[in-house]
Amino acid sequence: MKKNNFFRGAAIGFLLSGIVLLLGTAFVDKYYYVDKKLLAIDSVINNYFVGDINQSKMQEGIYKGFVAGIGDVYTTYYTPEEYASFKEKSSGVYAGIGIQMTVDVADNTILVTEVFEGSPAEQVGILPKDKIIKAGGKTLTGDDFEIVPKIVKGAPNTQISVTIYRPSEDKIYDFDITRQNVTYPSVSYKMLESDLGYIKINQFEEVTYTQFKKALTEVENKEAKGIVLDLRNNPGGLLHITEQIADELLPKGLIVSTKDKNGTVDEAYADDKYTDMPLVVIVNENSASASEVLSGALKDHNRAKLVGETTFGKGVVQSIVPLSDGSALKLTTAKYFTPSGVCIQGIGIDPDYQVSLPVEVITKGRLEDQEDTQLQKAIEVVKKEMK
Amino acid sequence: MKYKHLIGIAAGAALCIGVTAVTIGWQGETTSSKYARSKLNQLDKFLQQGYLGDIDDEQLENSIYAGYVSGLEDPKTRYLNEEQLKEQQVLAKGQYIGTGMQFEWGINGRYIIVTDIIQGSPAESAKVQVGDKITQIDEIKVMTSNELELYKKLTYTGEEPVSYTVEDNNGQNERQVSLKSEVIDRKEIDYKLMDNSIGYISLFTIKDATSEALNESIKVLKEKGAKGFIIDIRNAYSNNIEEIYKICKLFIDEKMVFKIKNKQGGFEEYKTQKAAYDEPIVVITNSRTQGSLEAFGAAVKYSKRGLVVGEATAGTGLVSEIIPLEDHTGMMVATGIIYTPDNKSLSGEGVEPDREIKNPIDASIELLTSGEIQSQNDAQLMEAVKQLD
Repeated sequence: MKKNNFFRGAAIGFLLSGIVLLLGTAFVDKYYYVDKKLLAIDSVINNYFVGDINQSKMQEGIYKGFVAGIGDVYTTYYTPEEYASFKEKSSGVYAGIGIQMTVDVADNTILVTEVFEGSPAEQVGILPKDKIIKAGGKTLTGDDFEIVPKIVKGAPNTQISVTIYRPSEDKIYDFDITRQNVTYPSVSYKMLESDLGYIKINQFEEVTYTQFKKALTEVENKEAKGIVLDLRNNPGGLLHITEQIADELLPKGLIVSTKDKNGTVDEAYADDKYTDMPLVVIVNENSASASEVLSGALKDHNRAKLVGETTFGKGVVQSIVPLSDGSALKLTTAKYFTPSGVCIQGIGIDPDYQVSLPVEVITKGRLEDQEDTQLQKAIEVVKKEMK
Repeated sequence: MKYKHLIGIAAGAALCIGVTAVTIGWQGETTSSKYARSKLNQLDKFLQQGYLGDIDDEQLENSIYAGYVSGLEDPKTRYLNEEQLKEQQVLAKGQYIGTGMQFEWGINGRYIIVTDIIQGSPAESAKVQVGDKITQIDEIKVMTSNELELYKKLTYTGEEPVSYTVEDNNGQNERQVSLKSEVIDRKEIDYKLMDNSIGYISLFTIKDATSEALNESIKVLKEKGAKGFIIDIRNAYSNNIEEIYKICKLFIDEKMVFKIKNKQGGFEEYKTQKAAYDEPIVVITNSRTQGSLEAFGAAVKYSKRGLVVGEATAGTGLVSEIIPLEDHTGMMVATGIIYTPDNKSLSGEGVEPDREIKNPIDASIELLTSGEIQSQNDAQLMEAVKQLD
């Protein structure tokens, strides 16, 4: 009987633990097949692959791949290195040569889209629309775009050699550039005429609200009676900064609302203090995300007319989840709606005045104000409202 | 003694934990170097909790393999899912799978322009023309913000038809075209006589008998009066190194034309004998000249048999193999690196042309607005002609 008790107890114990452990290890089983297949892949690589194998890169590849499987361009895994550089970028200060680049799909090259004021790149004479064909001794095509920032950036006071091709002159130039700390100028401004101000926002970063507020005060001090706000090629950025800027320009009312997976709605409102002078916004096909929040709110409240091209069409918001090892997950967590209740994902915002730049102007390096037909139209529209 | 059964439970539990721990331990050991399960679980948890859209768990899992292999950072090594494996097996035969449209993004990102139509393809039967603009695919508007979804549709090789909204180059005649992907025996070569004395030969891909087709076309062109040849390998990709070797043999006399470094670090050398032709040749390359075709460009350049004109090649001079896995998926793996006779690897850095000619920006605009470049505006072709005159 005593013996029986022990063994019966043992059997119950074994079963109970088995259930608990099974629950606990369900996840092990979930990945059992994954592990088996990774081993199969490994054996193919070990038997056939001719190049070098970097195990840690492959491990990061697993996390990257897993997250990419979601099938959303805005949802990505950042390695610790990538996340550090992302944070640096959002802060608005980094060490480098001071340019912004994109891939030119026309010929699969790396195209300089912007050269920051006072940057090392500007000092040696690099211009927007130049194509980077070599950097740090490596020949570059559009396929190398992801590694270019790694080559171009680096500690201040270090040297980098860059070779560019300038299509407008059909010439190749070599530059030796010393990297420096560059503050990302997210806002620039000037007076177009004695009473007409011009403010351009390049991106919405942490520093951008302060920079915008300063620009706005400056053009007001110079007695501007109207403003042209340029959001062309602005890829977006931080939503809360954009809301602060919208608040400066909008009377009391809804700026934007977001809705997450569980249907939770979050609304941002402008207070009754704002700059009420006539305003026209220039947008184009590269005005995305936060730029569309701002231009959508200004348009819906009839606070400003939009001039240019239909905007990019990014109507979703991302959140960042930092992980304990320095890596992070960026994921799409909400849709946003303009004050009229529209989500513009994959649709964009149509301008009130559709104006396309002539093809020969698009490909030129620096755009003169006179050639900029979108700017000219914006000036015409804002002047009508100033009278 | 009352508690004997409790001790029994404890003992049973300990045994069970022991057994399971051994099992898990063994499983864990085989994979512990590959990834941290806890991290993958964490990522999964955050995605399940926060991600706005629908999640396909199977898709997440499959994507692990693609990510793992892409960590090798090799342009010719990747994981192939079932659809991709089929596609690569078709491409390896020099065939083509798809609707038959080659395309580029239009100048403002609001249309996709058709730049080439493959002969005998569904797109040709549906009367799609070079220069036509695609403005919508199924329910998706052509906008840069929809790039990923559009790209999936454009490269889809499955069974379902895809509906394209197409208009003429001038924006007229909007119509719906329904296209289903097909396997097509692609024409690999085209030729014509230019200026009465130049044989212009364009290679699109390399199949097992392409060297013979090339040989035939040279004979025809010579009969018509060709005294020199332009071989245009721009935008062409091939993995067929044996056939490239045969092509080298047609032109290059008694030289080592390239060599291939294998996994063990050894080299296999490819040498030619007496060549069939000695007429001057010019090869046109660009940054989309890829794979074993780069070896041909390098062979012509380093043997000084002819001139290479245009832009540097892609620098993907690797030989790759397709290896099926047990579950109908597979892998493409780089198994060899192509080297020039003087020991320069063609992986990473491509072949620098003897005469570097970039097509001017106007030519790119012409391509993106009309869908093709007229030969007189094709600066690379014009330079090749000049070199033969």
